[in-house]
Amino acid sequence: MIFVSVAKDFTRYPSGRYIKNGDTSGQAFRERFLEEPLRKGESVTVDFDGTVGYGSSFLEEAFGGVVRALNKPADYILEHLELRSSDEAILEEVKEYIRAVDSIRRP
Amino acid sequence: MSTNGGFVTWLGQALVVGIGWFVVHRLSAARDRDKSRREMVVKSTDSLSDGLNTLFSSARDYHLNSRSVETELAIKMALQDLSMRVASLSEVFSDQSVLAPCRADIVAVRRAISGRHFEDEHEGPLPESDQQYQAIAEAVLQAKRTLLKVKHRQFPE
Repeated sequence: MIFVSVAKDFTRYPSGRYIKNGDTSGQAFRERFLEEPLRKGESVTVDFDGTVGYGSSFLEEAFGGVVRALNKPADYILEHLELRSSDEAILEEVKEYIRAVDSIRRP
Repeated sequence: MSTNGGFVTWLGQALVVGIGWFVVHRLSAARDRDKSRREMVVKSTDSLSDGLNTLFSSARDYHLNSRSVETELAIKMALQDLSMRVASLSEVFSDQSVLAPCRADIVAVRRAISGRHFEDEHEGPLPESDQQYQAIAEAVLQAKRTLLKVKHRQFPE
């Protein structure tokens, strides 16, 4: 089980979508903390609290992007990913992105 | 004997008065608490609605102009603040059939404002004709409508 606090382990200022534009981007977060453990079947807990806020592009690239990168179904991702936040709206949004990318991915 | 009987009668009456006072006091206190709670929810929903108006203006300005990292931060903080304040409504208002749509509406507002042409995807002003402005307006309006429902629920017929 891997525990990641976005604020403490990554940045208090998550920003942007692509790594080419910054190492606080959604792609950077995904590649650094999510892809490898989830690919191996490990469980990851992500704590969203403590940052100054999130843009949807960051969340979509980090979490929707995991489904694209791993080509795994949403159920698999959600089974191995525990999301924690005092803001339930963030949790709902992230799960929506995971499911939305999966529904596009599937034939 | 008659003294004892008189005392017992007096005691019985005092007990009835005491219990009656206690019940009325408790009911009155509960009614006052409920009134305060309803007033708090109404104030919160009005404040949230004002917050949405401000956020709408900021978002429009952000997308209409050159990229501003400062404005991005302010928008993200405002979205987070709105979201947390909606979440805290559940401490004084338990109707999930209205609170759940409130949360969904805040997600929609965040997505409309920051799902595209935001941060590293902002490559210059977006023309006024772009659909994103309409999407933001619709999301904000929907959120305000839901907040109005929460407010009106405080005054059932």
